[in-house]
Amino acid sequence: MSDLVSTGIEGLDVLLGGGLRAGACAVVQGVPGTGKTTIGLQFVHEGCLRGEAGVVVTFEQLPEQIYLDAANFGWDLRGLEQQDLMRVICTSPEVFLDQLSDAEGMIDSLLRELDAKRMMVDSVSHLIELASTPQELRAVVYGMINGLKRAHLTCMVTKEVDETGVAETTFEEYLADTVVSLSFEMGADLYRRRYLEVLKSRGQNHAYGKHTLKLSGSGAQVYPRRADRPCIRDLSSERISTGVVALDDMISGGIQRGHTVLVAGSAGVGKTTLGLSFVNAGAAGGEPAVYVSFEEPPEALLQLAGEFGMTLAEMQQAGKLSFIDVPPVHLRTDEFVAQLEAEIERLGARRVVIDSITDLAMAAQASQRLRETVYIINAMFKEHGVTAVLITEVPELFGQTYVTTEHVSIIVDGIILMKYLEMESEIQRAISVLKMRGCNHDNDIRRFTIQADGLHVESRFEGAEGVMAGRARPVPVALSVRSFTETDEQYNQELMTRFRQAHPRISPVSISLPYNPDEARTTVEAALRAESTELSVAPLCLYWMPEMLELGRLLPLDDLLSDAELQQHIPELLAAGTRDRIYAIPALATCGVLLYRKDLLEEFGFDGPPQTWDELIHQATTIVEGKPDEHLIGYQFPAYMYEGLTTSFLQNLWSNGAQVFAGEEVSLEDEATLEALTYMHDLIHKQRLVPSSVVTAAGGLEPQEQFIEGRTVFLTLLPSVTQAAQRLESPIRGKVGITCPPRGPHGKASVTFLSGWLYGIPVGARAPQAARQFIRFMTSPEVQKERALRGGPVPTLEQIYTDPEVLAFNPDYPEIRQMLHTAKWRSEIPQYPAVSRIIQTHLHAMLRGETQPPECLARLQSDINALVAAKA
Amino acid sequence: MDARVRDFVCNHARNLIGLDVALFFQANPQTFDTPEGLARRTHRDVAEVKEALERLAACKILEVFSRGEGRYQCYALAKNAEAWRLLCMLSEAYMDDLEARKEIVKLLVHQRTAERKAKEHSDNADTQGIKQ
Repeated sequence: MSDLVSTGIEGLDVLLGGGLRAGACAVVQGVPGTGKTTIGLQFVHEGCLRGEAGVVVTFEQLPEQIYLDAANFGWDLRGLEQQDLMRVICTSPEVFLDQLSDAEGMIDSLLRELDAKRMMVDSVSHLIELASTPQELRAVVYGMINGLKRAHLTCMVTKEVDETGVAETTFEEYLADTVVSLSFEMGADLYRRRYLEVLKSRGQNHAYGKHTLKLSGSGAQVYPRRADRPCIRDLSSERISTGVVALDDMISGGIQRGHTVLVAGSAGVGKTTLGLSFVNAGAAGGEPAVYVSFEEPPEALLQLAGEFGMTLAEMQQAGKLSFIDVPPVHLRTDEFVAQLEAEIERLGARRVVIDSITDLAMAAQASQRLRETVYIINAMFKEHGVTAVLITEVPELFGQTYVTTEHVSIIVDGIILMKYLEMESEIQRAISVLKMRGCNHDNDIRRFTIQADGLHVESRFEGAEGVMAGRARPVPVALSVRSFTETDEQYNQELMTRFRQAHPRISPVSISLPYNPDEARTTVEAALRAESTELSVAPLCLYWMPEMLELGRLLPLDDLLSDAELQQHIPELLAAGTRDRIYAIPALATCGVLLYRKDLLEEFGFDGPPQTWDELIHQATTIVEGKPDEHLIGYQFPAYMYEGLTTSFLQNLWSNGAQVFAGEEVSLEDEATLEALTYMHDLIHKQRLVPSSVVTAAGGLEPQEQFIEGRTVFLTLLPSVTQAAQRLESPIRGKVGITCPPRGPHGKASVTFLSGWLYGIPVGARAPQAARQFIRFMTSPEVQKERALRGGPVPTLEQIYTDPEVLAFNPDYPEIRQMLHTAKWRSEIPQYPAVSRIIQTHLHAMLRGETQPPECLARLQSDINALVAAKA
Repeated sequence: MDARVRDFVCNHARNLIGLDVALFFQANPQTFDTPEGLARRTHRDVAEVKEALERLAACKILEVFSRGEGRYQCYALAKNAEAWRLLCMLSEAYMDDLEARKEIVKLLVHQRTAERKAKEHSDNADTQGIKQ
């Protein structure tokens, strides 16, 4: 004989650790109607099924009623009596006790006759009639229990308690080996629920707490809560599809096998569609699934799935899909868990959808109970290797302040949020992944739609904020563009307007940068260093790039353009924005050029622009002296103390065969450097072809204006000057030529400097995706061509230079393109910003006439050498 | 109605209390109780139940046990197959056959009327005897 005796109620056996101890006396107490007699009868009946005879003693209820009640559960007690496996004894308490104590009595005779192993006494409460004091009653009960033990019976004795659930006397609980308490509890839905609790079980561990008790057509069922069930986390790295490809992409390929994911969203947003897709996705792999639906009947779900072209009906017919369809009002959490587990085991299910735990929450009635239920379900899923989607409804239609009120979020492995939002006077749907264990999931809030074939996850909500709050607004994206002229600035504003129209969800805000590139650099660099959110697109001058890349405050843009698109950019410009990755995309190109008056050169019989310094001096002198206009200026170049002065110097230096560094050594001591300095100095102070006012012309604007007004013969500046010169009101319209700056006596060829502007995205940009779109737009072939046709800054794309339409408008483009390819990149000079500042300081002093070229050279050598030494 | 049932009704049950007790034991064959306990279960007068129990015991339908060193008696269904068959026939006739049921009730009413008349006659005879 086993030490444990099954009660015939599987759930109760689980709570008792296998059953009652053999020979134990269990008191089953409860208010009327809780099921005491049924449990006792089931216990004795179970023994009969196992061939163990049993006796039922009833003091009050007539056996004929017991026979009828038992028949309702399918138990034929009269038949068992005929087989001598059972007796339902009807007697008085005093007779029973007397006979129990009598060795020759009826009870002993009966037990011997049947070889009975089990007994149920209904109920011990009647023994109170036999005692006048509690002490007497205790003695009576004590005697009865001992009598039963002497007979080696395993017994259940029922006991009535009052409506408050408090027993009239409690000593039975001390005397009995096991005490099982049954109770009713009125739910918030005004339905009574039966519960069973093992209060005591001497000599064996038992589960604590109240567990759902149900009386059904087959007797009593107990549904243990199993809150102690271990939650074994599956380490499988396999990912299974949700059935929505773009959603899978957001979570590294799908839900990790064995994980439980909560899908939260407003009513009607598409949660059920996602649940059906998840089940349908398993169909291809032959994965059986269970779909739990508390609201929608299976027929409605199958019809919905069919409308989306899903094959759930076929799955069901093939025995691979089953539905658990419980009306919410009849839902009991513990019972549901048992039912679900049985169905998972029956079907060998690998996927489960519970639609929804909101109904489960109502059944649980308390948030703690729901948390416990979800925990148990999650543990059960993991034990069976099930991947699950738990759907929960959030009450808010727009905006969402929480996923579930019951804080089940921490139990599940992942959370997917689906919601409505109001945007541009229409309701849209958004999906986002809030949590996904073991996965570097996409943090985007993406738009999704429900189409004829199901759910489609689309692009993220570009440039919108307030999506999570349900009221999306365009994000103001601070975009800074670089304009070289007034016309260029107007064009940039026009582009901004067009971009806004094309991307209504982005609200671009233009930020002006100082014209002076040094001041502009300070502004941009400060924004990058501070990781400011204010600037979403930063214009970056080519010569800043080494420093800006060194800061590491730019977002990579490798995937913004295709390889084919990247190859169209002038390589030197693209390389400037590249370190290990691409961080900036070229938008505008420029280089140093010599602008000249074609009309004046022709008037004075010159065949072409000057190729050398001497030729420039000669032509300028001839024209200035030959023209009656006393205000005509021979030549101008940037000489104010800013970056333009450095480029003027470097251009002359390189075009005279010299350079600042030879490798890592400073190489300014040679004659060619002194010649370059002397050339610049003498143009102002000896030939007086360049007015001394250039040294105070802030930003080089004044020389540019004077050239456009027709007051200057030669100007070294940028190609964009021609744009202004082409204006209708310009007196030199159609009279301007562009060529390379002239070379010096030691120069074999003219060398100009390469410059341009690139666009990058600061790390702190508040709308990086919108910024990416803007950069793509501003650097596109369409915009670059249009800009070229308007005479703006030159393009960075090779294809524009060969466009016939562009060439017709800009006949100088082939020469400019050639210059761009041969131009030198000044940032290659080590410690360029510091070197540039030294050059500006000493050249400006020289050009102001405060020093002579040899002294200027000496100061340059000294300071740059000191800089190198300090660095070393 | 079977003659054996008619005989049992007329000669052993004899009144409605006797019929109730007999039917009670048929419905609850494992009853083992005192006259007081059985009176509670059938909600009848203890003395009348006791008389009926004695009649049924006399005809071997029930068995009587003296218990508690003679302090009380308990009645149980006799382990007698013939008696059990008779009770089953009685139960079937009374519970399932409306005509038989009417007849049983009529027999018991006549029985009671006859007994009442006999008692009245006896009482009158006694009164006359006293007067004489």
